[in-house]
Amino acid sequence: MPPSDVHHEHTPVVPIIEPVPHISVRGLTMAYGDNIVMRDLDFEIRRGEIFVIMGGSGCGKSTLLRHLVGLQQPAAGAVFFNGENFTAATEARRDVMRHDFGVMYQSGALWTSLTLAENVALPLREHTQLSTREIDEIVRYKLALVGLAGFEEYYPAQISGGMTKRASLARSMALDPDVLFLDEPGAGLDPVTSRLLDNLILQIRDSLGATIVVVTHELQNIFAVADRALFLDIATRTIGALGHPVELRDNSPNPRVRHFLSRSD
Amino acid sequence: MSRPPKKSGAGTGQVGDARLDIAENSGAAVVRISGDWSIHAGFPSAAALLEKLPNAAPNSLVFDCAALGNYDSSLPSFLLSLLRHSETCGIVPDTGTLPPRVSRLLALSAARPKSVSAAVERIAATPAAARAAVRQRLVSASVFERIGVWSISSVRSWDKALDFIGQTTRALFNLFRGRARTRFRECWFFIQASGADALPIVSLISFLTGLILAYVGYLQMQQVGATVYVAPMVSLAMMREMGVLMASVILCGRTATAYAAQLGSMQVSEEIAALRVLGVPPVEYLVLPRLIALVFTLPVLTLYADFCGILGGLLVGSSMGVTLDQSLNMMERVMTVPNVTSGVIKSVFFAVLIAWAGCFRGMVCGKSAQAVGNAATSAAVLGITLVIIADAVFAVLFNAINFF
Ligand SMILES: Nc1ncnc2c1ncn2[C@@H]1O[C@H](COP(=O)(O)OP(=O)(O)OP(=O)(O)O)[C@@H](O)[C@H]1O
Ligand SMILES: [Mg+2]
Repeated sequence: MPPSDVHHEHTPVVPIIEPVPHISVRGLTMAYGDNIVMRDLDFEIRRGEIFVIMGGSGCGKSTLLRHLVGLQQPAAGAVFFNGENFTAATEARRDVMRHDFGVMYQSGALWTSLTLAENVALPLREHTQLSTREIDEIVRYKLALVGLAGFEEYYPAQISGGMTKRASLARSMALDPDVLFLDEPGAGLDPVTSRLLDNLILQIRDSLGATIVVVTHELQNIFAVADRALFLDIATRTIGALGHPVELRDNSPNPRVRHFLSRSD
Repeated sequence: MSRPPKKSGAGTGQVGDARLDIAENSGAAVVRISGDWSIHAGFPSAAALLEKLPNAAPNSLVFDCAALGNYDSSLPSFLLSLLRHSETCGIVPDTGTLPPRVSRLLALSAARPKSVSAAVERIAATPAAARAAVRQRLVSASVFERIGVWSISSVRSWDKALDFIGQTTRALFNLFRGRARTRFRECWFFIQASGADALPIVSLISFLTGLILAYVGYLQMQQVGATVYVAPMVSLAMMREMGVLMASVILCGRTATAYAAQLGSMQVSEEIAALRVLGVPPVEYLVLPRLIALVFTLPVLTLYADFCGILGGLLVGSSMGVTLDQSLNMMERVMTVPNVTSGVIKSVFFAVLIAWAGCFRGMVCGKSAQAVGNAATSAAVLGITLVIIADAVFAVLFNAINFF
C-alpha cells in the first residue's frame, strides 16, 4: 500500500447531481420484538461516498447495517438500492442485488471450517467463473492488501482478533463490490494498523469507486475517512445529525453530536 | 494513608436496621429512609414500597433521610430501583432531597440512563396502567400464564420447524436437479466423523445389547428346554429393531449434538448470516452435506451393529450348552430378506430424522454460549424422540404390508 497522509485535507466528494442515490432509507423503524431500537430513519447514501454511521455503544449501528443488507426485516419503512425497493423484493431478487455487496461483520464472522484463503475464495467461487489459479491470485492479493500475506493457510481459530477483522475485510472486498458495509473495522486494532485501514478504505473508494458504509465510533476513523457521517442519537432514538464530521463537530445544533465528536479519547 | 472506613457512614453510630416508611403529604409521597443500610443485611424492595401507594397516586416523591444511619451501596442500589419504578409509574422523584453524598453516588449510575428510557419506550401508557403493569410483573407468573407462555412459544417453535422442513425439502429438490450449492467434499469428512469414528462405541454397545437380550431369552427358553432358540431370537431382534435403534441412539448422542453445536456456534458468530448475504443458502451449504453423510453412514452402522449384536448372542448361546453349529443352523432360518433389510430400510429414514433434528436445533439457536449448549441437548432429545416415533410407525406399516 503506498504511503499517503491519513490526515489529508478533506475534499468533499464532488457533488455530482445524481437523479437516484445509491442507497436510500425511507421511514425505517427497527425493533426487536416490541422494543424499538431506532425510529423513522430517513437518509440517502450517494454513489462513491464514504458514509459513516456513528453513535454510542448499543444505539443500533449494527442493527441498521443488518437492515441495510437485508438480514433483518424492518418494523416499518424500506431500503432502496439504486431506486429499487430492496425490502419488498423477493428473496431471489435480493440475492441477485446482494451480489454487489461486501459485508464485514462486527464479529468477523469468518467461516471457521475454512482457511483464510478459502474464506476469501468462497465468494469468488460462488459468483464468478474464474479458474482456480485466478482465484488463488486474487485471494493472495486481497490478503496482502490487509497485511495478511503468508497467513493464507491459517484457520480463523489460529489468528488474533485484529487479524480476524482484517481477514474479514479482505473477504468483504473479494468481489470488488459496488457497496461495502464495514462494521467497526478499526475496533481492536492498534493505532498504526487502524490508520493503514483508513488508508485502505480511502483507496478502495478511489480506485474501485465503491460506495462505502462504515460503522464506527472511533473519532480517528471518522475524521480520516468520512465524507458524511450519520449520528444515531440514543436519547431520541432517531437521527441526531447528518453531515461532514468537521462541520457537525463545530456547528451541529445537537449538543450530543458536538460532544460525541469533540470528546478526547 | 489511613484505610478508609468500611462503611461510608453519614449518621452517627448504630440506629438499628434499615427502615422505610412512605406517607403522603400535600400531593407528594414522602419516603422516610432510616436505620443502617448494609448489603449483608439485605434491603427492602422498591416495588413493594410503591405498591403501598394509593391508586390516585401523588406525582412527586421526596425523601426524608434525617434518621439515616450508616450505609453502603445497598442504599443507592435501592434508590436506583426506586427511581426506575417510580418513573415507569409517572412519578417524578426529587433527588435533591437526598443527602449530597447519596445523590452523588446515584448520579454516577445515572450517567447512562439507557435502561430507564428503554423501559419508558416500551410502556407508553397512563401512569395507572404502568403501575398495574409493574405490579403484574411483581406477582410471580401464575400457572395459567405459564401454560399460555409455554403454548405460544411451542407454537412458534412448530412454526420454525415447519419452515425448516420446507427449506430442507427445497434444498433436497435442488440437489436432485443438480443445482444445490453443496460441497460434496465435506461429506467425506462428515462420513468419517459420524461413521468411522463411531465404530468402537457401536461395537461395544451393540455387542452388549446382543449379550443382554441373550441372557433374558435364555432364562425363559430354558424353562421349556428351547435354549437352541436363543441365538435366532437375538438375531431377529437385532436385525429388525435393536441394531438400528442402538446405532441411531449413538448417532443422536454423538452426531446430532455435534451438528447442533456446530451450526449453533456458526449462528452465534454470524457465519450463517455471512453465507446468507453472499447468496449461498445455508441449508444447501451446511445442512445437506451433513444429511447426505448420515444417509450413507447409518445403514452401514446398522449392519455393523446387527453383526456385533448377533455375535454377543452367539457367545451367550454357545456358553450355555448349545453348540455353535446348532445355533448357526437355527439362525439361518431367520436370515430372510425382510428380516435383514427391514432395519436397513428404516435406518435410511432415521438418518434423515437425526440429521434434521441436529441441524434444525443448530439453525434456530439463540445468540449465546448457553443457547448453543441447549441446542445440543435438545437435538439429542428431539432426535431420539423422532426415531422412536418413526420406529413405531414402521412397526405398524411393516405389519400392514406383511413384511416378515
Ligand atoms: N438479537 C437481539 N435481540 C434483542 N435485542 C437486540 C439484539 N441485538 C441487539 N439488540 C439490541 O439492539 C440495540 C442495538 O444493538 P446494536 O448491536 O445494533 O448496537 P451497536 O450500535 O452496534 O453497538 P456497538 O457499538 O456496541 O456495536 C441494543 O440496545 C441491543 O440491546
Ligand atoms: Mg455494533
